[in-house]
Amino acid sequence: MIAHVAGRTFSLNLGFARPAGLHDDMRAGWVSALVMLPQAVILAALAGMPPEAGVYASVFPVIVAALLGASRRLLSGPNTAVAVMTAAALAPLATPASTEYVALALSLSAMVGLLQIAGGASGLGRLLDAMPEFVVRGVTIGVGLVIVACQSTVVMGVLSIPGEAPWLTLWHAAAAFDRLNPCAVLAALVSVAAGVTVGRYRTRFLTPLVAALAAGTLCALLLDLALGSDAVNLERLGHLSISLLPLSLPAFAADELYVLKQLLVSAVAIAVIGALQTVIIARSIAGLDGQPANPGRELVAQGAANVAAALTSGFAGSGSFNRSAAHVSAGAKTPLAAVLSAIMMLAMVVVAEPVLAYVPTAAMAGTLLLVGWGLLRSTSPGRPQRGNRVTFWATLAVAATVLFAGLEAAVFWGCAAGIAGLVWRCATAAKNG
Amino acid sequence: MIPQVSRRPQRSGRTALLFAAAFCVSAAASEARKEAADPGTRRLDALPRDKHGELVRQGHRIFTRTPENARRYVGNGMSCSNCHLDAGTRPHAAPMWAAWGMYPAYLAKTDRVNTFEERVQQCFRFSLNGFPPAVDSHEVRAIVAYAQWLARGIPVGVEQAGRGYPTIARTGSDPNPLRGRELFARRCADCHGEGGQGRKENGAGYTVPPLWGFDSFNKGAGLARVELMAGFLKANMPQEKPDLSDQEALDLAAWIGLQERWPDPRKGLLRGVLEK
Repeated sequence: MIAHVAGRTFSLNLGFARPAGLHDDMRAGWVSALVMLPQAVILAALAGMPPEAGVYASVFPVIVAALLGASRRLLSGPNTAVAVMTAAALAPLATPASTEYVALALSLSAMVGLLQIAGGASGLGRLLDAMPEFVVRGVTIGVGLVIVACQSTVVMGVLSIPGEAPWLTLWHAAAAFDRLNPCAVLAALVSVAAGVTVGRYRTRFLTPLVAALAAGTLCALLLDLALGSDAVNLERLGHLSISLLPLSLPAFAADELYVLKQLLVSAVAIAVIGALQTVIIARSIAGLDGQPANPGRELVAQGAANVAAALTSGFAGSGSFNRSAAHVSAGAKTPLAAVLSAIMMLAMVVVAEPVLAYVPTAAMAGTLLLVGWGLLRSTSPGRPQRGNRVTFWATLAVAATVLFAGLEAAVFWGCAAGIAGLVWRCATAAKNG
Repeated sequence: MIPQVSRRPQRSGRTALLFAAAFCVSAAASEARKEAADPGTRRLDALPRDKHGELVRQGHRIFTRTPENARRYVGNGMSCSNCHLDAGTRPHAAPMWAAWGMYPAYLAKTDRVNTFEERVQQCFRFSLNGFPPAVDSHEVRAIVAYAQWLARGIPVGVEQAGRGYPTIARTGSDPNPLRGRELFARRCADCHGEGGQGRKENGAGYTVPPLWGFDSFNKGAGLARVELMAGFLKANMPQEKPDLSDQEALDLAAWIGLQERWPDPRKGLLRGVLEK
């Protein structure tokens, strides 16, 4: 009853749909919260942040983006590519998950947010439409490769060297072969197998990621029971200490301008990639709704969400394609569904905290391998056709640049190549015509 | 502290003033004595506010209130300073300043050479009944920085007097848990509770650590061994004035060792089968 009245008031104040839609929104909220929970923890690990930061980043920024955005069903929050970029930007500057690292992540998120707000308000967001297709696809493939490379050491249960290039991690993993922990490999394999199996028989509540995490954790618990946790020696997620209002302030120290300068370069790249994904998702959802998309407003909303992340101990994010898709297919109608999903996820984390503590990092790495593989498959360029051979190789070149030189370089050189190609075509056309 | 008072007061007003001044001085001195009782805190305040100083302070915070400051890895209600008394500074209570310079060292417990970081991990696994933090985690770095800071000026690799817990010489009679139970009720229960459950301050963690049960160390911890616990008790308990005899310490340790606690993480159901 109260929810009913609340729904009516909300619909009056914020232009939400009629209360009859509230039931759909509640149900979609539950599904989205369930999808979001493992991703919050996994993406935090990918960004080098403590798991609590992943939870916060999936709650407050999601609410802000949902309330400010033009699209009624877009779900924001931590995002794979943005998380990889955050780690790549911060790992050379501080040890992942340390206090300094978290402080830098807050500053980075605030910068990204402000850049996106500025871009959206000034209409620069329109330029994103001109981003060449092969750059977007190449970056996606590259991110998939980076994830697989970075998780190779975690799957083996050996320490990685923070701040090293992803392709070097592969080398270190091979060199550490004699030190690998068979229990970690087993837990990772079990989670991958569970994720693949559930992916075949897709159900509404048991998503592949949930199944992968649960199976990996169960496998680790059985190993503990059989061999003793000292011999199994798996690294665990550990107990979370969730605060309901985790206020934080990004620090800008004047005597560390050189750090901020380096952060700003990364912030520009993250802002562009994050904005690009948000706009692409908004456009595809708007296509479903039969409404025109409003990229400018979407960009401002995402920027505000990133500033909110900086103020609530989170880290930068963007629109999330897989969560938005689940959200829409679960029947979400209004932004209220996104708000509800965020609140429900926070409640679920608080309730499930004692169980989450036992999730091994190897199971999270196995789950991340699934995520990376999904990215690679979703953009598989297929066999190069005669006319598209240049695009095919350009895509692969961008992906390789991501792996070997970083995302910023890939976006920059990809766009440069796109512009050069444009100039070349114009020049050829002018000569012929 | 003898206050500086004029021997022959000429005027009562001046005498009163002098007495007041003397009172102030002695009050300040007693404050200083109280501070000196916790020299760690005073020395911590003198540390510069740079990155190293902050890491050492964080190490001290984690060390003294572990469940609050290293929540991720702690599975019970214990803090490091529950066994390493006085925040890891008291001799004969496994002080950090004596331990730091002795690692890497061979440990019979793992049958290999362990680094200081790995020793910290073992404390988390056994005494804190939790998950060991990774050796490059923030918590381990902070604790190592704190231990190294406490050990400054002390020669590396030289066995220090007061390292670890003392060993008790043979008393000639076996430890008797029944006598230990009696002794526990008489000497320990006032602080540690009738059921050894410790004492909790409302909301905050334990002020007196639990000796057994779900919130205490597990069966793999060093203090779960009777002879080590007896040495700890002999040297440090009761906390104000340790006065247990050798036999009393052994009896108490035997009684405490009989109680229920989490199982040893080194033991699994199939462990014996696989090793044969």
